[in-house]
Amino acid sequence: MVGAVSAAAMLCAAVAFQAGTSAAASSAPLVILQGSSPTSLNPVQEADWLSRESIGYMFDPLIYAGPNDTYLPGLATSWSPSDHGMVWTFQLRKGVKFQDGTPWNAQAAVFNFNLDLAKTSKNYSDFEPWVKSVKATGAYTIQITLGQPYATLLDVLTWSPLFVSPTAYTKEGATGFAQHPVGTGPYTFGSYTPNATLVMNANPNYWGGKPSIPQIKVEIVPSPTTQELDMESGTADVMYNVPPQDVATLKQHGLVVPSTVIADGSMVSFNLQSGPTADPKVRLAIMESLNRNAINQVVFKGYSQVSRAGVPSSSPFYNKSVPQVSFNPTAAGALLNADGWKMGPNGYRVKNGKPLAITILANTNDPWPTISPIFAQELKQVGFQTKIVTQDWATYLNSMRAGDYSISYWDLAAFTLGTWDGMVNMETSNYWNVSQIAHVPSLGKVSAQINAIYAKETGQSNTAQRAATLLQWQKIDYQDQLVGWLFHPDAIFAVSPKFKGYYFNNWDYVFFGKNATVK
Amino acid sequence: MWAYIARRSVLIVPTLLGVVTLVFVLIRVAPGNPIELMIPPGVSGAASVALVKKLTALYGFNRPLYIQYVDYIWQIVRLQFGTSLQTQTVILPQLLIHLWASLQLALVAFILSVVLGIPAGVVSAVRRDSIGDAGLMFVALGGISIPTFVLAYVLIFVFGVVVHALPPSGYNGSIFTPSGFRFVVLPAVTLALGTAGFIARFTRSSMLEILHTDHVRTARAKGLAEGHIVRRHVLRNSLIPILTVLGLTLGGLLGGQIVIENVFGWPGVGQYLVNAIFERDFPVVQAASISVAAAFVIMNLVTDLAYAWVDPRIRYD
Repeated sequence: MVGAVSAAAMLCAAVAFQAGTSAAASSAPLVILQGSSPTSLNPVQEADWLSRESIGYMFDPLIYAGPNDTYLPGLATSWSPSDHGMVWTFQLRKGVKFQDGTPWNAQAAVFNFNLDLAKTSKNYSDFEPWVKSVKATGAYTIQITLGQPYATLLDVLTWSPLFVSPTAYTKEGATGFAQHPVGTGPYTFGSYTPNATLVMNANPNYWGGKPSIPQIKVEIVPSPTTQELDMESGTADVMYNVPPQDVATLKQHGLVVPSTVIADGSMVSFNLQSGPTADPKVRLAIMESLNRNAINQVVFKGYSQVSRAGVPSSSPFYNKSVPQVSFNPTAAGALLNADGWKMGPNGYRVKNGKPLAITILANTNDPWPTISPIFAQELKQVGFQTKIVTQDWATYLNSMRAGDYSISYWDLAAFTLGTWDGMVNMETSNYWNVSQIAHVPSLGKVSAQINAIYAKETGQSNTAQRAATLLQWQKIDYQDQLVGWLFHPDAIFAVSPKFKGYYFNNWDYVFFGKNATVK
Repeated sequence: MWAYIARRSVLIVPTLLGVVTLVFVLIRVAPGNPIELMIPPGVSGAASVALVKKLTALYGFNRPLYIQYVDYIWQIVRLQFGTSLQTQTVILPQLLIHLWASLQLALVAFILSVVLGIPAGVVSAVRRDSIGDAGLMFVALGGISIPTFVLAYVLIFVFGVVVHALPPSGYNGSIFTPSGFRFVVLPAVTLALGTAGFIARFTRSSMLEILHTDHVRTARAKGLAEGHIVRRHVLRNSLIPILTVLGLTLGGLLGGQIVIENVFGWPGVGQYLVNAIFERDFPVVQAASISVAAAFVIMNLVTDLAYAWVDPRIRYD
């Protein structure tokens, strides 16, 4: 049973920082558990999402992600497109200062964008190749000019840039700034011990009002079991990524365990270029062999949604007209028979003397170690000869790119299909692309169709148009089983009953209004 | 003695060079490219290929291996351990933070191991085949046999969740404050129970070898008190092998206890090293490996010097 808690409902219980009300009574510090240290405290340098979950409280973006794909003012109070969406004008919030007293204005904004575009502190840009330039057109007005259509610009602006003080950054450089980060956010940097603790203190001069929670302490605890024990002992207030099988135990200890559907799709990634999975009939047979509903119950304890075309039902791009592959091992067997894969005496199928052997490439991250043997067992029932290879992340990526696999289980965080172009990236040479769809010779004309759809989708910002374009992709995907969509797992959190006034935003980290308390 | 120390100190250099060379080769032979791990999901297609090429050149990984090796050795000689590929921060301060955490944990665990282990071993040896002996050895065996992580979780559950006496995890920079010391208790006790068991058993067997020797029999015949005999004649003469075990134990504790650090969220050098291995952060792996190797080598030297202190017949000239 999915215990989804809509972000909108929780938002009613929270007050965004920018909607000022009177300050709440005193509160204890908030302790948030994380499994690993942020890569860097410098938001210009770091890339991974886990880092942003920890350091995000010290900085503000231009726009905040609100519930149901909406946007809330951040360091920008309003924005508007012109020139067919190729130019965006942002009015910046006035009266804001960085934590070191540097004023927030158009100059500061342009400084930050240029840090990204010039790749000053990292070797890539969050805005290339779409953004051509960012310039100040007034003291509190900036204009972003696009070089090519970029439908997801506003989404990216909810997490990048996280604005840093130009004064501090210029004085200390990227590495120095990472030791003493300075932003405009509701919390200021206190102290940091790598792999141990990050302490942030309430910013008394925050533009949204001084937070009532005086301190946030992010504690790095790698072991999920220890994290749960921390929650049960009352020494921590928020835990991410609660394993579904532990929800009942945590509730027994009086903890609140909300869950929310986030735009995260898990899938079977096929090797489309070589081996048995280059054949679409084999791919379809594989998907028909997997009992997704049963896996949902066994592995996720119901805390996930079986996927239709990689889109959760809460997404505006969800379309019931796209078929879903049903669990039907009989049909899978018949399909393989028709394709020439006949059942051999040892229970494995054979074609032209070659066995239907597939390698399941797995990673050590949850839930792969649990999922892989289930896949192997279900595929074996239909006559696949399976081998599971489990590797650490670096070795796994190596194997993926070398094509040393038939199928792999993969999940991809994204805003929603269609609002973030990274959701299903179709470039074969993308080091993160596990589908390797485009430019695959065996796909023939499908490849050209997909590229055309992708090019069209990138420039469309209108939701209805986008949905129509993506429907074309979803149908091709289903027809050829380019991606074996599986689930949309819930994000499950554990929260101390002492902590009030929070919600989890679409990026799945805890966000709370200035009147939130821990007591 | 000083000449001996100087000679042994010189020998540290080839030992560490061997470690550096082995680690340098092994980490590069392992599958997985650190540059590819740096490419974020948003960079795709030809851009990601170009970025890989650029970063490979930037970090010098396109140079011949022997050039990279020589360059690294020259850096080490100047005590420059380089910059972390993952965090882009200078390694030495980060390494020192993790080493300090490991040192604090090792110190407390070691003291506890000695305080528990040696007296238990002595009592067990002196009261050989008694109920006390059986009981102590049973507990010692339990400490050795129970997997560390199982013991850790049990202690966390009992003292953290049920009794609420101690925090289940965490570290606040220093164990030398009352609030900071609370964080080290559970991980140190977990470590100490295992090592104390080992020390107890070793002490017992070492003392049993001495207890029935002629000089001890003579001391008893002379009418000396049993306690005096045990302390001055038995234990003192048993110390050489016990010191060896203590040295190895402390070396092992200093080298990082990845399981304990993982369970308790203790930011020791073991955790630092293992994370770096998974991230293929070559400079950190190399720096952390050198520090662990150096800890063992120094502990070996200290142990050898301790022999001379315990046994006046041993002289290093």
